[in-house]
Amino acid sequence: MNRIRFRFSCGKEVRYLSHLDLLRLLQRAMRRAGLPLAYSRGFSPRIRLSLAAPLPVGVTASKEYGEVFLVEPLTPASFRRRLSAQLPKGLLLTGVVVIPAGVPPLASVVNAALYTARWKSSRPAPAASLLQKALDKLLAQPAIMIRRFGKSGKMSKQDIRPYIYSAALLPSPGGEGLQLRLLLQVGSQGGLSPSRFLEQLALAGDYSGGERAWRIHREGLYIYQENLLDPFPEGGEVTDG
Amino acid sequence: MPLEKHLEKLLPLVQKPARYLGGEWNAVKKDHDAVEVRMAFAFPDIYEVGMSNLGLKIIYEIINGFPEMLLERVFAPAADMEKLMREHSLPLFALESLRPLREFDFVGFTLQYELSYSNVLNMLDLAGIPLYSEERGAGVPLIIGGGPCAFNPEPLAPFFDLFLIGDGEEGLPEILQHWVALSRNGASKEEVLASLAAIEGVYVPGFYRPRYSPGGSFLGMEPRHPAAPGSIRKRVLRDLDRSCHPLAPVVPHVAAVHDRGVIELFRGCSRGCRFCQAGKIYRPVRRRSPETLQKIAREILRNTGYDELSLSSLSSCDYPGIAQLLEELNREHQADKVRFTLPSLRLDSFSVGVAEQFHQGRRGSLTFAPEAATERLRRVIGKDISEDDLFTAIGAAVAAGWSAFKLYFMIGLPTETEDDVTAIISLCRELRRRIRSEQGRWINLTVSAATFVPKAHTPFQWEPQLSMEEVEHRQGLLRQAARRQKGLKLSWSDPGSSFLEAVFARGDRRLAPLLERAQQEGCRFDGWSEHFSLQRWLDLFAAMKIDPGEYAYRRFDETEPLPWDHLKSGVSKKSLLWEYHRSQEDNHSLEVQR
Repeated sequence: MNRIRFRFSCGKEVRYLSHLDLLRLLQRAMRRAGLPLAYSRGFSPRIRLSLAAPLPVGVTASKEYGEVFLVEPLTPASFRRRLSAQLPKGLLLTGVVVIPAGVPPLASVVNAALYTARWKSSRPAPAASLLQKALDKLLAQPAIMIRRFGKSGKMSKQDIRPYIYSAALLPSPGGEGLQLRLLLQVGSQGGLSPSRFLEQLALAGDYSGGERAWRIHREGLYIYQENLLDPFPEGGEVTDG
Repeated sequence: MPLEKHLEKLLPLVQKPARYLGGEWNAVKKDHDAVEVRMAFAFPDIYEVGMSNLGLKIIYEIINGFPEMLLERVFAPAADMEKLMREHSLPLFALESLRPLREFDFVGFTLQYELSYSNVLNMLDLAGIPLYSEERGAGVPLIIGGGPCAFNPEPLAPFFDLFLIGDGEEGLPEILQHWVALSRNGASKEEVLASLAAIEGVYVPGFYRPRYSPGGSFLGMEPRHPAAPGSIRKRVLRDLDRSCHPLAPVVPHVAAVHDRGVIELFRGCSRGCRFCQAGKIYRPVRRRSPETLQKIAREILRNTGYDELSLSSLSSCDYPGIAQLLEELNREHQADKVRFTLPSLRLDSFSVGVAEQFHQGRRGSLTFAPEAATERLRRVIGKDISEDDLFTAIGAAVAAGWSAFKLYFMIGLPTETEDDVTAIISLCRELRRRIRSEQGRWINLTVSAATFVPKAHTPFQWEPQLSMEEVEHRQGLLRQAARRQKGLKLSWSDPGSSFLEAVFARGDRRLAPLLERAQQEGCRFDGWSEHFSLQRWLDLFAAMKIDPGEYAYRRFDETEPLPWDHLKSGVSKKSLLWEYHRSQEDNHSLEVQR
């Protein structure tokens, strides 16, 4: 079985697609590309495609990852050429690499997402000092309890503090608006969406403008142990650019 | 602020924003300044519903195939989006260019069913286009309508500049080509319409005046313009096999209701079900050859990447050689795991051969439409199938691996008695028992009971609809009979919305002001139970002093002129009447036999 890992970016044209919409779009693009796709067994065979971590709706991204199984080997260059020709505006394939058997699937190891958020609301942004204070206050809390609603509508309380790896206010070049840099947990071990974080920040700072006041961009996904590891293996056959 | 910037602010606030952005695979984006005529195809329902429509796919590909024309899509915005658009004075826009509808030369509505009429008006209003044709002068798009409801468009007549009755494949390009030539010569709107009225299938409602008796009876339609023909014959596409079939339909970003490819096997239906409007207005039967269909299927799958393809028509099992066609398709596309489905199954032509061609996706259910549960009633409505057909078809499907079925019935059919209604459940019970004893398996049935709506251009167009109270009573009987029945699920349509559907299906121009008022009062998405309010409509009828029962509940006299008499479906009123009488005779002879 041939396993291919690919990297792609999501522009504003496709930022409103849900995770399922995006999966369906990629599957259809792969079928149009005539890739030698491997299918799951059973009554309704499915393409064995997975994405590293769902991208929140409304968020653009630079480095997203997916994995797909093929029944025949294919060079990364050929995979890239064929799939790229079938992607709509806004989706760009930026790298492809063949993954050896035995490597755990991306979705099980990717656990960190790096976001930047820029103030976009026409409302005046809170002063940088106020925002810094809010950040300090939020991060100093030993626990940040939020309410969550499960699928059955049941409410539960959850501490999201462990999901915040880091959050910092970036110096804005030439005073060009406010920018936040957030490293948040994602994945099977639990996670936190950037919009949820921004809501909590607004509460801590007591300013108006939660998630909707910000334009959010996902810079990348990582395997975070001691350092941030890129999901593309070192020395792999990356075709970039 | 340009529309796009504005939109960027609103989209994060609504559900499924991708409905309003376009940019899908195969979407055609043309330069507005590089073409000679610009048309917006308006579907008066949400994106997911409209994107499933075959007519849209056909027209989209045909018109955009002409270098001098462009056609873009627009759907009814959902309630949350509409609210924001109104708050921010954002006009309704088309998906490809994000340009306001006002900037197009034509806005074409497809009229798929009566309960979308309030959405038609609401879309015009959201576009900032005056509702009435006579209020629209030069520089405002021409409003054109098509689709099945254009066969009696009278309730909408004053809002439209023209209708195209019948097949659009050739008629619409002809209209647009004519318009290009006329507008180049600076023709006035009246001159344009007068010239377009000469095109076969074109109906310009403003060129006709209805006459009413002092008592309010409809007396007939009177041409009031020299260019108005006495009657309008529907447009018929002669050669379907050689006509354009969409090969690269837009692949929606948001999953459509029917999220799959579709090929049209044939148009028209050779069956003579007396309640069925589609069976009459889409005549004659025109087929595509198996070779053409295989080529089309190949192209669509290659261009879209769909893993499911629906073999569509009014009665796909009636396609000669359907089993071989399915076999060929399955063989060719097996490696790509493509699933082929038939949307509508005939009980009497569904065979083991067909059943065996569905190799995959057998976990779903199959749908059949017996329509009535007794032999007598089926004879009356012209549904010429027997109980044996039902048992044989279901038996074949069960043998091929299916275990769940959906059965469509109707309530309120002419001559129906309470016994006919409860017979639906006894028939289902008997069916389950038979299958159990023959094949050792229990099957699951979902029974859907729609309410009969008399439609224009059918032999039952003179028939009254059963009153809402009586429909409710019969639905109650059905529920009671189905109580504690294992393996049987029941669903039924809302009597109120079927009533409204009947009012507009046989309506005339006097309903137009009511529709205008309904739009103002906030009627939208009347086909959606969460939006439909019968009371609001009843209040409107009362306020406008219109008796809706005159349209829905009245037995139309066989000699009286009908509001759609001037529109010719190809089936004459005389032959409809003959069919109507035959249904009464059928009933008679069957009752004598009993």
